Amino acid sequence: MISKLILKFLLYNKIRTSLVVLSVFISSLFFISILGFGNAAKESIVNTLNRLSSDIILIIPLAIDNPLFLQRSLRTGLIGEAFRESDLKQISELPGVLGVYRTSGFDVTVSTRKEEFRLQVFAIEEEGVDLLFDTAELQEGRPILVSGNVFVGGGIADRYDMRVGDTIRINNRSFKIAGIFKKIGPNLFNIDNGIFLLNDDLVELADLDRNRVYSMVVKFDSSTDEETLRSRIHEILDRSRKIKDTDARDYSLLSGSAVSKQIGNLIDVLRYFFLVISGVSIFVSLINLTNNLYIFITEKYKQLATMKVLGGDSRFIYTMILGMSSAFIILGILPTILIVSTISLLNLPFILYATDIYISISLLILSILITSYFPSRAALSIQPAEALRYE
Amino acid sequence: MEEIVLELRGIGKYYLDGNNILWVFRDVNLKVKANEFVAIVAPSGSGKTTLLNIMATLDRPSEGKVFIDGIDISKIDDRELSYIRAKKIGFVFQQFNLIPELTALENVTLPFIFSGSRDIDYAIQLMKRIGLGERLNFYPSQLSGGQKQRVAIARALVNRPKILFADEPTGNLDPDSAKEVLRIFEELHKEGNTIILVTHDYDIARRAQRVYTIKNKTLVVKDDL
Ligand SMILES: Nc1ncnc2c1ncn2[C@@H]1O[C@H](COP(=O)(O)OP(=O)(O)O)[C@@H](O)[C@H]1O
Ligand SMILES: [Mg+2]
Repeated sequence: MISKLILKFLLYNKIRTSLVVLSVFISSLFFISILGFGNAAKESIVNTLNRLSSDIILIIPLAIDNPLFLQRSLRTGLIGEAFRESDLKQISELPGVLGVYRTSGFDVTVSTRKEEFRLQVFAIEEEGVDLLFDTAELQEGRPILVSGNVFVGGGIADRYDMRVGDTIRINNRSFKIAGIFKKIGPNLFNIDNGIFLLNDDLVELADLDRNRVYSMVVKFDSSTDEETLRSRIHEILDRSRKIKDTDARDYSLLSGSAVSKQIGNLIDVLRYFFLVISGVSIFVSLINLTNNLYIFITEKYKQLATMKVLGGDSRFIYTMILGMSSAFIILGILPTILIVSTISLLNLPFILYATDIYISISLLILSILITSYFPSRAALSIQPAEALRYE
Repeated sequence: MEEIVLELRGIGKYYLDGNNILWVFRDVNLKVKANEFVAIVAPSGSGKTTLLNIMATLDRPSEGKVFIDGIDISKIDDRELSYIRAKKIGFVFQQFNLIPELTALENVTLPFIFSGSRDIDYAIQLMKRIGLGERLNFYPSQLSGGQKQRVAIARALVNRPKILFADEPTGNLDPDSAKEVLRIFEELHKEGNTIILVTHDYDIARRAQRVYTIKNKTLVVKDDL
């Protein structure tokens, strides 16, 4: 009976009820989407990074907090001070190191039959080419890179319609596309958006100094402790570059785990930012809901007084207002739950952890309690004798 | 000894007008026995509604005590007060005060929420008894004034109260509907209900067994009708 009463009171102004429900729906969907998609984004990026480059350290001559870093991370040597032949040799002798290979990146002009564009190409020494093929599978072609050939990332190949066997020009030299990588998402080498060639070819094409080590990639035994290895490499390079203060390092060691940690932190910051915004939107919808309960009490002032005369006690008032608040909120989150379930069924990148669900449920209960508390107090304070005189 | 269902002892009520105390009435004493039909007749503004509200626990007196069925109303908490309202009294208002979102039958059974009763059959029987057996599912907006007031009477009776209070129950009705409503009150009295009714209309008051008026700011017997 009391639920029927609540239902009738919700239906007596359908438009207002719908608007409150809509605001709850929008804010809850916003909140849960940010949680779910944010979790999925972080997980997918971090996982790929960890999986694809777990036994590789990239050494580049630029501090990671240098603003140039993000734009030009691999245009090494041309910006920072390159490394020495002896650095490379000492690192390759460290325990657990399977190989150290020269690598470099360079801005070039690429022309296909149809288009011309600027791009960063990446080069690695012939002995280390297998690192590339370990990181990403080929979509087409065989995993052999020889002078005069290039491999192309899946993203670039799609965008510029490149095929195996095509000839492209890089800074006016002809190269043959020997293979195309499958798209793999974010990774240390940025394979999806790169063109890869042999270091000797790049040295020639970009007129680089054959005797300098612009940057290096270290392949280590995966049973080796990465942290220990990193500190060993730091010792060698700090000594060679005469660095005393670790804050003054003008080079960086990049690895899958280090980059994923950094990107993970970046995503977290973004996610908290959006969570705060969605929190504000939930807050606004709850204010709207509370306001509506107050309007309800004002409009139904006399009827609430009548119900008190008929014997309605404080428990009845609390139940009714709590019921209305719950109804608004539950009607609002029902479509959200439906959408979230559909998304989960569709295998979209959407992940909710148990803690997210606990937090959401606590938030839900808290919302119902907070939005109904003050309106309930207002309804309780109605004095029948006074209210019934009210015209 | 006859059962006393309502007793007023030294009841007074004042309102404050700034710093001035305005007494509406003082030293009101009254005993109502089970199955009595008591009317209070007095001109508008004399304090009838105020007094009836105090008797029916809707308002607190400034002084004095109200006993309903032997219980001192001033000594009980809100919870017990609600219980008394639900179980022991029925109230009929001048302005009906039905809930517009509920049908006639739902209005009549509304007090079940507060009393815990579920006697729908009795509610329907009451509706038939007051001549609205055909209009159980009508909304208040689909009923005439007289019909609304009859629904309100059924609502007041549905928990079988000890006392039925009525504040100008015919005040908003046309003469024919008023006559019908008064006939119902008389029948209810004959069937054993205790009724306390206030009105400014002497013709209505005449139907009661005992008639009082408010004179010189207190309640006195009216024997010159
Ligand atoms: N809340 C109030 N504040 C001040 N005066 C009031 C209040 N309620 C009623 N009164 C006064 O009490 C007197 C009695 O009112 P009421 O009981 O409604 O009379 P009746 O029902 O006989 O017409 C009136 O003079 C009225 O102005
Ligand atoms: Mg009055």
